[in-house]
Amino acid sequence: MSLTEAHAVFVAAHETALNDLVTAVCLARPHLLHYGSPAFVPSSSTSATQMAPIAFPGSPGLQWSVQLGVPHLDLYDEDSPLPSELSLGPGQFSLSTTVVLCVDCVDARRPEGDTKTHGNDHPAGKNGEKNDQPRGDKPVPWPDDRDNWGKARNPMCCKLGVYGVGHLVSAWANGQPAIGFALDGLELVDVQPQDVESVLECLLSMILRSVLATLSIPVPAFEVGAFDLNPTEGPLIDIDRVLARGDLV
Amino acid sequence: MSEIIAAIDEGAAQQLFDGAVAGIGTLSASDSGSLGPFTVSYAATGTLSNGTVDLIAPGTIRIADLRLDWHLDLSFQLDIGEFIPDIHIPQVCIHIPCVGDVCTPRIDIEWPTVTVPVSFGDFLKTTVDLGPSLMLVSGVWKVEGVVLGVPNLQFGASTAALLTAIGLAIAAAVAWIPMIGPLVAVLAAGVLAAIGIAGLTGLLGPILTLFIAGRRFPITDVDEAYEILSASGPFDPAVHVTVENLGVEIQHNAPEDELVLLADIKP
Repeated sequence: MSLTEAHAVFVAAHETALNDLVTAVCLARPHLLHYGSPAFVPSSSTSATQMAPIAFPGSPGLQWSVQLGVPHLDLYDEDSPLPSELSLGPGQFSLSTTVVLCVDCVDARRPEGDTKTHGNDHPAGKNGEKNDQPRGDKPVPWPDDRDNWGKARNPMCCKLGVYGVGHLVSAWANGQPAIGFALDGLELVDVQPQDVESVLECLLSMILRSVLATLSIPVPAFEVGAFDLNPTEGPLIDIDRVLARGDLV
Repeated sequence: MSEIIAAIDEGAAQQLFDGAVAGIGTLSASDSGSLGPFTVSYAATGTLSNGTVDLIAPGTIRIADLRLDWHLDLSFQLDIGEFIPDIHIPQVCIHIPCVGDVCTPRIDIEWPTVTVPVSFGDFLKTTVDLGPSLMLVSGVWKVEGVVLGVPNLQFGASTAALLTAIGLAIAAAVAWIPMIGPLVAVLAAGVLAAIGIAGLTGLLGPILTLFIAGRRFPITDVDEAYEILSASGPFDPAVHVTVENLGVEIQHNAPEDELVLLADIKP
């Protein structure tokens, strides 16, 4: 069977090449994987993308960050084991990565007895009312007490292993046809209780879906620009590789 | 196994080859050489076109009917005296009574050496075999087809036509010489006989072979540091991968023959 079949040009990139391409993009533009509020990301740069703190009444904004590791992709068929909840079907890819979620835990260094300046982050009384300030008082926001360099004083982080499956989508990058990545399912492992796992999975699905939407690889990269391919078939996932066929531009 | 495989069929190879041939433009050469007994200086130009690509595994790109349109300007010094004897008619005097001696003038004709310029063009077709070639030049992988061996150039009717052109050029070059008129045909015939077909092919062969033998036809260029994404903002620098272990081969993948490029990359 010919490679080009009924077409003029054939290109195929093994999954190792796809991982090299994705890694190259992520290493050159790490801000695609790292997001955070000013306490974690003082300013947007190549390294990270600054975003707003999470607004919350009674606080100057919750400081947070999300940092994903460079995803490792496995194209159908399955070479990298997946959690039992996920399965890799024809035409799909799986990805595995890590995510580090951080918050600046201001409460942890709250001076003892200082309850006035820390707003809503207080245990509730028996009847649900806050027991550290008079009913009807407007909560006083706690001060924005990042350190002198504007960084989080008390970052608390957790690192989670993330697995997902998805499929390729057509995209454009740099004015060229490209492949993008769409997430079909995501799974965290070893998070308990189940409700927490579900919430985190939903949260990370949204985050990962958004991150993947910014990550696309131009089709010419799959043939290192050797031939000007105008794809008319694919790009699609074949066994352990992504391939496309078409005509010379 | 290579990480990246890119293949084109013969149709696409033909498309690339046509572009490569067009990109070569006009070739030129100038030097001196032998045209039979003469030393000639020449300036030649050539333009390649057409040619039908046939991919032959494992490593041949055959170009059939590659056409070379060529033009040759040459000139040589013709010592006419080597072909027509100088004329020496001594003075003859006769005595006429009552008149005295009457003498004819002495005639000495020594034929000069003239420059004969010849301008001629024609075309030829040939079949050449190219071998795939890879070279890393200043950070660029050059993928080319290189003409293997020395092509067999068939001049056919060109040689006869060129001989005719030389004959006409000789006639034009000597036209100014007094009294040579009746001898021009003799002169031209003598020169052309001295040159002969062998003399012409001996001159044309090396010149036109120069235009084809060893000629490199570019197939594609691949940057060693290949840019996946160009810079698109202050936080989005260009993204590159390094291309290594590049290879090119002709594969027979039934029912087609394909030109296949193989490569590995690393971030």
